Amino acid sequence: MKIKFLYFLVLLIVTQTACEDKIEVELKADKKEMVIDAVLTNNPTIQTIKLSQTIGYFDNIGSNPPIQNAQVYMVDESFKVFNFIESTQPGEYNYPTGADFDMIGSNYALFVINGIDTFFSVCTMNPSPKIDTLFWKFEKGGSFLGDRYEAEFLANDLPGVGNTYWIRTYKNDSFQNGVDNINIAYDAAFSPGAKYDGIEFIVPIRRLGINNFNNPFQLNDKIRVEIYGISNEFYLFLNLASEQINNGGLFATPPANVPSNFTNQNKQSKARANGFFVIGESNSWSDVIK
Amino acid sequence: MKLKIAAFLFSLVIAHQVTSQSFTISGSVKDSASGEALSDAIITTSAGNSYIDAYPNNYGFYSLSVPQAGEYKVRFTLPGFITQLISINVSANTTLNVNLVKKINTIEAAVIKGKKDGEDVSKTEMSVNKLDIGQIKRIPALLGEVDVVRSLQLLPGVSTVGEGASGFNVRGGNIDQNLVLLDEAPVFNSSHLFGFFSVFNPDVVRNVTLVKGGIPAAYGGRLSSVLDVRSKEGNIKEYQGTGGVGAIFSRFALEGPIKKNKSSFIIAGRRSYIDVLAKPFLKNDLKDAIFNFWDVTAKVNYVFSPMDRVFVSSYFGRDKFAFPGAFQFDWGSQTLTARWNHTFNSKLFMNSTAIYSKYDYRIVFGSGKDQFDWNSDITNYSFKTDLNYFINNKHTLDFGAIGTYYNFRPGEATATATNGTKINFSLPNKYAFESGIYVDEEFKVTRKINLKGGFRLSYFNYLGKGKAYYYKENPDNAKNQPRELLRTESFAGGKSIAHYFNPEPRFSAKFQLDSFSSIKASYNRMAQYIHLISNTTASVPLDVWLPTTNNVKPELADQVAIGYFRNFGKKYLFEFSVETYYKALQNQINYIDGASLLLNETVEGELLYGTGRAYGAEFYLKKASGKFTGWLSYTIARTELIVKGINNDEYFPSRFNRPHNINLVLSYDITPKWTVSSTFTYQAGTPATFPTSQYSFQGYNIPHNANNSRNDVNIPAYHRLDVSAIHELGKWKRWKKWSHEIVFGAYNVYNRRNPFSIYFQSPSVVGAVKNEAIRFSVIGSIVPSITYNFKF
Repeated sequence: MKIKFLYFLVLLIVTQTACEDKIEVELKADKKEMVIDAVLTNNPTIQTIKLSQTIGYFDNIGSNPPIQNAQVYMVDESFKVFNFIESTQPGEYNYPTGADFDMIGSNYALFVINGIDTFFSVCTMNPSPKIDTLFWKFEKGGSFLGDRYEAEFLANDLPGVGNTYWIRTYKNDSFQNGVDNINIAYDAAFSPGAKYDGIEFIVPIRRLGINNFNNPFQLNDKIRVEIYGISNEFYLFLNLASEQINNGGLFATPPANVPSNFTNQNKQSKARANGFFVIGESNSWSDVIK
Repeated sequence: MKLKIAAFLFSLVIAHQVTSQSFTISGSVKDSASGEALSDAIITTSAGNSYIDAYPNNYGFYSLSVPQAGEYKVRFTLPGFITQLISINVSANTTLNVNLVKKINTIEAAVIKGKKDGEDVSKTEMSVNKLDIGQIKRIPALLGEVDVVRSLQLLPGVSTVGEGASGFNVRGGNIDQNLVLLDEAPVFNSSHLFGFFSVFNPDVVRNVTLVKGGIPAAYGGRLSSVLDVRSKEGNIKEYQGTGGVGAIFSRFALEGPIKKNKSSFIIAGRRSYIDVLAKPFLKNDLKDAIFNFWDVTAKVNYVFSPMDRVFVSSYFGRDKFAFPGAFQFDWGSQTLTARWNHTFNSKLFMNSTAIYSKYDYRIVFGSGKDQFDWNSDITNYSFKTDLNYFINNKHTLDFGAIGTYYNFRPGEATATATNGTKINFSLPNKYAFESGIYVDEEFKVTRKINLKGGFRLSYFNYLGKGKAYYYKENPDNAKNQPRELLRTESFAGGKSIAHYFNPEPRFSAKFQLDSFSSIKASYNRMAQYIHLISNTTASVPLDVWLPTTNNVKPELADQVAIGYFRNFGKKYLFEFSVETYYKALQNQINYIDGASLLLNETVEGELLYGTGRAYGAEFYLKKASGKFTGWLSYTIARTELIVKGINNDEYFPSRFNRPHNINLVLSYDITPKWTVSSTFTYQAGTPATFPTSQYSFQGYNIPHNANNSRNDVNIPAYHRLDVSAIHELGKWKRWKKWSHEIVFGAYNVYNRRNPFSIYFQSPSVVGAVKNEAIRFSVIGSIVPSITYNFKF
């Protein structure tokens, strides 16, 4: 996708007559579907599941109404139940610590009951490798970017074809991966290919993917890189979501809905849930740039 | 008594045989100035009460039969040339080669070739548009550069999805459904510069024929059309040069005899320099950008004997787009054909051709130690033989065969890591063999009724060395997801992985109502075995050609068309036609949402197949000669698809659906030195899919279509006006042989920002809270140009 974006950008500059204008368009109506945001790790921190509703495409961003008074709980293979309790923030359902999710490799089932609908999803808890080391290098500014530190981590993909990961980077505790910089890996590379199993993550993932060029690392910044093991379905979900958010221009693909992994147990109801449920192991490395 | 009757009858039979022994008059029709074949000429003669007419084939060879010995007056006509009436005494099969002389009156010489003799009305072929290079040169062009494919888009039934689309759509078909031939070599990407210009150099083009329906049995392999472009062979009598200097590129062509009347050559080249011109305007790192294209056409031919002529043609072209050190993208085609024309006798003509054609592209990111390299190409080697057998004046038989070997390289990619190791993530090559054998008979039942019936049998064999992939079918409610790979099976080189036969009947008929009007009808079945895989709005040079496999089935199309043709007005200067068609398409390839098509070994698991239908009516009115010339075309059409898993399993309009398409081309010769032209085009908007909703997930704002539909909205209409003025400067005093002209042009005169697409994005201004709809226009302003053309 980066290829196509660069391609389009340069074409635009050189032709110099192409243009883009913001216009008013009338769209068909929204249908107020439910959205379940359930991305869970085994970090010893509060794990949150957010429930909200879809809104019209031109409605104010962030004005998604929360869904309150729903029942949210997760069950592991030993039938242990983890209840997510609605917090003071409407629509947010919390479980005190992810450390309780410790059966890596086994299945977890999530139930979200809202009115007559019971949404259900199953995910195998995916493993992730430990980070071997994290280092950084000072780069002098050039024509595009100023002086900065470029960080890089070293880690190996776990053996076995088909491991998928989401590498999340935090600068001073704020999440850095914007929509144009979602850093996901299939084995050690971007996409499936048997040659990438069990080896070191490729350069674009371990270096380019963790540095945000709009907000590069400077001296004394706190950096945390997390490798989060995700399911193959969530890997596809993030790919598709990224494509849909970044779509546009001369080489746009037809808009497509990002599929969720929820089914409604109530066959009488036509209600659908968007979003995704994924649970996985998380390994981080924190440091301060000095 | 009985013996006498028998003897009498017998002698009658003998006498009848003797008197009905026919003779042929055959030969070639050529341009007297250059020796180029004139394949659009009409040859007529009469015998008693009946008229005999004949048309030359692509190489200018004709043959007609006269019923008995005697004197005949044979007439050779071609608009733009002086008609010749030749008296000839026939007592045996006679060779009559004719060289027609171009009309030198300056006004008439510039005239668009017309069909004054009712040619359009009387030939059997329908759904055919022939463009003469003279016509093409008068149509106002983008940036002053005349272009074959842009001119085709002004004809009924032809459209594109907008500027920047690298192909064209015929009767709602996809861009890969057009068989584009340059001197018989297939061209896989007919455009330069992302679709703004085609690979056909107008200085070299001799004839352009577009067949949209009733496709003759001699052609096969694509569903929707045949674009047959023939270039000049080179002036066999004297040296000639043409060229021009324009805003975007310059061209030069030189042709002439190697040995007068025996052998000639033509060599032509074009090179663009938009990057050089833009340099002062580009800042910092962008100033080293390279953005250019070039192409070269080189041909040579030799007349061995009156029966034999050999031609060798080649084309090389390349587009390049690069930032040195950071990024390089180049692509292009190469073709090489060697052809042998052989006249066996006065009735049988053969053309055999060996063809090499390759289309490739390459992307490089980075350089040296940190580099990513990606190559892809499609190469084919063909051999074909076509024979025309002019049996007699009522029957003509065409037959022949073609075999093609394909080598597909879907993606060869290597990444060089910082420590120097090369990682290879290439896809394996794919191989295939395609062949066709055909026979096509034309039967002139009476002067008013012509029937043409043909049959083509095509065969495709997907070969090893390679793998067959077997996927698990998804249940009906989950079709829109990748299919799981169950197993693969490997095949050694040359072994067949899958093969298909397809019978392709072809039929057309003409009923002449009177000398100026006729009704024509046709039916054809076409099979297509290679497919362009692309799910983008516009096709990108990165799109991949794939063969039919054990999973991807051959695409099939059945088209019926019926039309009414009429010439009218004073001297029958106006041509009118209305044609309706219905095309049923099978095994049309579509994609799951978010399909990953590049460098994906299991790409077949992300394809969906559906059925399509395209139908419409095309109206065409043309004035062919005089001071005022031009045409008006109007097409009303619909193309739709139904694919399980998309649009809730209901019919949806295809990406190429253009409900209304109007084109008006006008040209006026104000004085012998000044001509003005204008083009107006209006096309109803193409379909698109819009979101209805949005939701928040992990801090990302994701668009959503609550109806799960495809192409249920239309973007606004496209319309544009272009004008141009050609000022002929005449001959240069210093060198009488040099004639020149200046062309002034303006494209998109009223500055309309025609939407190519509408896409949606998150707010562009920091702090804004509403998503935005953006109209993307490829050309959003008026584009003026000046071009200088010369000829010597």
